[in-house]
Amino acid sequence: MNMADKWLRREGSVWVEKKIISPEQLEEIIKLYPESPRRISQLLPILASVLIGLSLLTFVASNWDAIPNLARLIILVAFTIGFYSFGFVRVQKSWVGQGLIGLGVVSFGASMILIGQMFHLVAYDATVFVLWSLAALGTLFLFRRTFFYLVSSALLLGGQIYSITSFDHASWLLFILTILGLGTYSYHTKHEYAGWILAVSVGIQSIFLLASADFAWSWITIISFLMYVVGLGLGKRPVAQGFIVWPAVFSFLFAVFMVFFHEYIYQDSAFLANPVIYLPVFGILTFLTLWLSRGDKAKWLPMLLFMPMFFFTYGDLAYLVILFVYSSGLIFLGDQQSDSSVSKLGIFLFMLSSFLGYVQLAWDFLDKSIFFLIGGLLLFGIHWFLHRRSQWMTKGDK
Amino acid sequence: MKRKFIIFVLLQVLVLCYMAASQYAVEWMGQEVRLKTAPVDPRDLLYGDYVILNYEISDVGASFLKLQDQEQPRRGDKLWVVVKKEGNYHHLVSAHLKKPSVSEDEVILKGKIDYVSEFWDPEKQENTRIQSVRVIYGFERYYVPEGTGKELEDKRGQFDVIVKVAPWGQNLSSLTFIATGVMTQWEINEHIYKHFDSQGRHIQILQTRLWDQYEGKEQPVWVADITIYGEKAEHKDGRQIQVILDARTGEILSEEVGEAAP
Repeated sequence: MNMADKWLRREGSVWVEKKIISPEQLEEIIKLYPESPRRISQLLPILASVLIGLSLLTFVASNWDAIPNLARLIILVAFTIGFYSFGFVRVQKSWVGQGLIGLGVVSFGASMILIGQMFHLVAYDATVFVLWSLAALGTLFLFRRTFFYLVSSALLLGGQIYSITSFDHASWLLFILTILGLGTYSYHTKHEYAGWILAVSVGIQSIFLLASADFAWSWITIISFLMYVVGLGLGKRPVAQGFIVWPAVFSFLFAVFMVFFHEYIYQDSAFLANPVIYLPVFGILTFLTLWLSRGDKAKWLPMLLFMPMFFFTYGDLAYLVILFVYSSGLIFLGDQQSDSSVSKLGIFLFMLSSFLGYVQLAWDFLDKSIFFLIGGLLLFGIHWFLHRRSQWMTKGDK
Repeated sequence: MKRKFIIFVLLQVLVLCYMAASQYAVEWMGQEVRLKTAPVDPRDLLYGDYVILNYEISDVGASFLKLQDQEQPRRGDKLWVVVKKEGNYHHLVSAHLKKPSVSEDEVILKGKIDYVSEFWDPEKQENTRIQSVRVIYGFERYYVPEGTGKELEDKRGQFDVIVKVAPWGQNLSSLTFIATGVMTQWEINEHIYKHFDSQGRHIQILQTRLWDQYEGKEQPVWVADITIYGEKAEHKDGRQIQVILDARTGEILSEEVGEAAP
């Protein structure tokens, strides 16, 4: 008996006692949820084969040095084919099949690395990961399962991280594979998760590419703006959600960062983008946002966060003002759409912004005990104000 | 569906077989190049389960660079390096950014520029001209069975590497790793202690290092700086001498009184 069954029986008897339902009704309800058929005895054969597989694997691994190269090659190929074909038989029926095909992908990559070691090869670039991700993307397009989407994204992003850490430059091939492979799948799928993952992966990889091309790193603000525009362009497709939300989250964090560090970095040429190129690009993206949002003013709000305030001498203050305006905007927006989660987020971000502003502005010149005292009073004040407001809101609803 | 899947798996098997087959092809048909390893910082030598190899041809000095007009070597560029056999080893002849034509006794190795070192002009505050180019050939690693790396580390600078270069100039190389039968530092120290012990003299070894030349000839020798404390271990009048030993047999070639070489 699983947890839910136990809970239902326990709570059900309380409901019967309180005469909410009759004992017969409780029986009917319990019958609605038959015990799940998967029993531990069905798992045993799977566990058994996993154990046997492991014994084989450890045996090969511990004798690896003694095996001649040709035999090693045959073993590696046999493992890869074996995992794939056993997986193929079961892939439509159960998660075990998907797992086995996943192991096939893993064996393929591991084989490439081991063959490289056999011949003492040195990798110059992320080619191994390109081939490896191609195999993973192949499984994704053959079987169209979430699991293969996860495997592919892990390999593509992992390869990119490997490339930037080992060779100091990001791989364009992996980036293009991400866009074409994961992108095509995400575009057609009805699941939102694909967009969330894709947007994170594309964002991180773009930052890597920017870094390896020696761009001034304030250009990352353009990446989030560009991704937002892409999100708008994708319209009502499920994939769009990730592209709309992540850039806003990232830009909010960027603004918070700038509140504290703007004065130290804004004159650094490694940071500051060339405004002659930056501003026209920014202008085009602004135009696209206005055009693609088709009058939906709610979609204009994140543009506040993308504004390049770092060009100004008092950028830190400007970013602080933007944080306030943005969170007030969210509160207002939540009101208008009667979406309380948006309002709550706005309230939280508003409190966070006031706290940040307070720390940033007051820490330097206030006596510390007065600093904490005023801080506490400020938070009380905001709390009181927001409380009054929410009371007023609920009354207004009635 | 089934057919697509079979093709999909076969493609991967083909990739694996191609990787191995191209290596075997080089092994069978490749031209042999014997290279001298250059010493590396011992701390960097062993990386997990592989040994890092550094060659004399890994650093190409500016005088070897044969550039056509306007050519500037950059990080990541391909570099064709010509080597020629002189004595036991192949030595650097020239390096080119485009594939050169060579005479029969020369071999072309294909590498990639890792970085370019330039002379710094402190007056103009800028880099003036190229000093040398660091090249990666793809045979800088030698994978060893787990746990055996320590032995190889003891033998650093004591092995030759034979590389096979495919005639079609593909950047694939295979590697045969030969320790040239030189005594290890540990063995040579033991040997020196025994030698002086039999003469009844107490010594202390300050440092030992391996040289590949002795009196202008190519012969590996161990050079040891030692302090001799006299017959009855009188610590006051220890004197320093330098002992040179044949690195293969351990035979003492010379004992010289003098300051320890820096």
